[in-house]
Amino acid sequence: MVKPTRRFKTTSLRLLVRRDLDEGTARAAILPFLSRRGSNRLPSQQALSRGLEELGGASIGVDVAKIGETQLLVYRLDVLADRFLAARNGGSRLERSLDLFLGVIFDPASPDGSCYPSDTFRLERRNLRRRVESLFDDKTSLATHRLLQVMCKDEPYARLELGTLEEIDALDNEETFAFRRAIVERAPIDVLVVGDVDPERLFAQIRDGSPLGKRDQATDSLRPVERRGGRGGKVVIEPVPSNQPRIVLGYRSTLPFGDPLLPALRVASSLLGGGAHSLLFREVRERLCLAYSISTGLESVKGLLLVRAAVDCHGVPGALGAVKEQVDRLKEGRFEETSLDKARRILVSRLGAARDSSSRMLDIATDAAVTGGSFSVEARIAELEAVSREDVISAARSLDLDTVLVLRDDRRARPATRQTLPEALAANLLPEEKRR
Amino acid sequence: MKTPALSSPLRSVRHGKLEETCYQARLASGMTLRIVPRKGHSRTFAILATDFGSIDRELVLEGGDRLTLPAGTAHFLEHCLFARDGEDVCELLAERGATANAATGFTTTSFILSCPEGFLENLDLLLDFVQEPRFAEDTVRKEREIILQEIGTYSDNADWCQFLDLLRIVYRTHPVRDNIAGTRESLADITPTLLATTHSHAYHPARLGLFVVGNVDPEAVVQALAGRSDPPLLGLSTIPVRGQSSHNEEIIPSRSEMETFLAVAHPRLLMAFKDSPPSSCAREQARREAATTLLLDLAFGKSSDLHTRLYDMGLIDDSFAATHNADRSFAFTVIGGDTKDPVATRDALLDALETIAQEGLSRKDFLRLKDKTLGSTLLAFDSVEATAYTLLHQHLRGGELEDTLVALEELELADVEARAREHLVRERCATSIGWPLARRRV
Repeated sequence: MVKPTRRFKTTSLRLLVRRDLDEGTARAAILPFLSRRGSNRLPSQQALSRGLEELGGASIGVDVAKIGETQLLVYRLDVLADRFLAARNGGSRLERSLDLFLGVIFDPASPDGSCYPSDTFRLERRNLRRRVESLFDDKTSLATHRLLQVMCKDEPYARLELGTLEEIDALDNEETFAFRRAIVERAPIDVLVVGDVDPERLFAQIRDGSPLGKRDQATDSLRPVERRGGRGGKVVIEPVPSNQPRIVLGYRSTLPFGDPLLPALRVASSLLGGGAHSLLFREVRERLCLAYSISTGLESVKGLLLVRAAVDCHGVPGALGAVKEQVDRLKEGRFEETSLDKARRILVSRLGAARDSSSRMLDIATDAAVTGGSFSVEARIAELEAVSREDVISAARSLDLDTVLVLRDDRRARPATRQTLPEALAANLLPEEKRR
Repeated sequence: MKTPALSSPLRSVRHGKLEETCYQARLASGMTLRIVPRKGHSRTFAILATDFGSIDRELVLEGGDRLTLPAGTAHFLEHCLFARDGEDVCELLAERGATANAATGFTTTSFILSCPEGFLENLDLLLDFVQEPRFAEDTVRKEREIILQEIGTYSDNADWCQFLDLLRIVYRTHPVRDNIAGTRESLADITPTLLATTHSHAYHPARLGLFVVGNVDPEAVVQALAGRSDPPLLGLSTIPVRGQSSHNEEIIPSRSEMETFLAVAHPRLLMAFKDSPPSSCAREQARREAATTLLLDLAFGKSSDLHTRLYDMGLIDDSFAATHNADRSFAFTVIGGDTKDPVATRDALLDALETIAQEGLSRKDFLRLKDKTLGSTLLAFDSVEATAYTLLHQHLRGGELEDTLVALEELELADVEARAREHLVRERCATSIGWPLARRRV
């Protein structure tokens, strides 16, 4: 996708590599980080950084993400449009930056063409391990990750996009290098661009400067995502040192991927926990004062809706009960038209705002490339505006509670009620299971 | 903010290098307006801000008496302004597709409004809430509970906790050392009466500024605001005076080292270099900040020899960063990140800084990083939010949108070297080492 525009000072480009989440996840995850260590032309991180600095602070960033059961390797290039600040060494800043960018992805620094420099490889393997370990630092992310590990135990979605520590430790330099070649030849790759560009010249440069123009075999087709029903609210307690417990409730939607009710599920999620207008915010924060923040997150490809909050120890049972009650309200249609309208307007407004930022436009394009959704903001807005009250209720009824995770500090656990925490949880959550 | 004596009509300043035009005015009420129109944008983003933040801990009353404020007063006030008589401004705005948020910093409290349409009506609503609050007992009690939850949530944020702990050894009396949200004890001392008194000082129109970026007609904004009948501010006839008696202190940190235990996976090093307060001249301060930015990049940036060496030794990783903070009555540089050996990393950093102070920096590196920083300064204006915050910050110090860019263009290597000798020196440095509380499998 190329969107030529002079509205921004930046020209932003993203190259996406898509692959199934599988036992090769760690091996793929290390590739973007190795790319940052330079190309054969600029064979060190320092040389690459200096090359980019000379181009008016062009930047190359990498990321590894997960959408549904697809692992996404993301390479980003941001460069100041050529109409600003004449480049010191002449020539087009965009063309020269793109040249560096293609170099680090398709021609990574290698002493003999069969492996990465061994010190570099060892260091980046260790840094990847540290990146996974650092998940421990953010208690909300940690709680979410633990929940998914339990909830999606035998499904690819349970995999962390960076791989497991065991997989990372087992990575081998030559194997990884060969694996990179296979990915370049066969994995689906998308290039997305927003900015002041001439699409023809850009295509020509990518075609000539990378193997993408010479791909002769069809790209790998990705596995369809696995969707399951909920399991009725199994409660897991995760002991982790923290001052405030985190709760995460994992719901599964039984709507199949690509269902026309998907926009309605987005509105349902916004209505439930999409901001200060939402049912959960009003109830759990404003009325019960149990949490500073409580919110929902929807993974539309996998069909998961997660409710997350940080709550005081004594507030955990109350907050869990309140979440269950608000989800019931949604399913039973016990919400006001104005609340629904707010939820829809906020989503439309946020989506519309994406047009004012090249990086937000690329976020939408990334989602479209991976999920097959629309690249057009207008089309996405139209979908949301067409959502009716009945649609929201139907979409909400597709939600089944699967697993609840409570992350809390064992050393601080103090029973504020006479019930033990698991008993309190059971009192609030198991009735739903019995009803089914 | 500068002395807001007289109102001034709308005027425009063209910043050719930025491809931006900034419209500025001061209303009869004393409120400041700065607007950067962006034709073709689909929404308007605005910050309504007062130059009153967590470090404002003293009011000078009209008779000259001083009233000390508990830690967390500005933040508490921010919470209370969003809710009035059971109504919540966020909810009312959501009905119109607008989103709002608020934030309290060390020196400012800001209310953020973002909307695709109806900007003037939404702004009017936001101003009603911010300028005509009610501090009902039950609202205040409820917000206190929510803030206690907020403090609890932040207490699990290791970055934030280590940063606050470090400021406590860098500063002796300056209130930047206190948690923005306050403590359980300080919140107990904040009453509806105290909030009302503070509000009349902190939200006096002369202290308010509105900073807008987006699809908006500046003339229409001026008209709309001029037509508002702003409420009389509870007996305050003059512009409030700021009490800052505890802000002056010597430039050496009160302690040079501390250790702490954090629920994190890897040891963390955080170093702060205490700096003299910012210059009151906007241009001068822009030059000082430009020199500091370049210095940090030259000394510690990804292309520096030091970064390369420490990264290759496995002492630092992607979390390593250096930033400079300068605001009203304080300034400091913070450097740090995860490291397997905090002591070795600190020593290497201090040694490298001593070498720079003695031997100077490379002109070639300087020119290259100057190009880079000019480029990234321009790129930042693509963000509507960043542009609005730049308007706010430049206004607070009496500067212009383009000041950073101009200061960078004029910057010489000698300025950067002088900054190294004056600012990043061992005696002004305080270090916090955070050790992992327990290691756990992920």
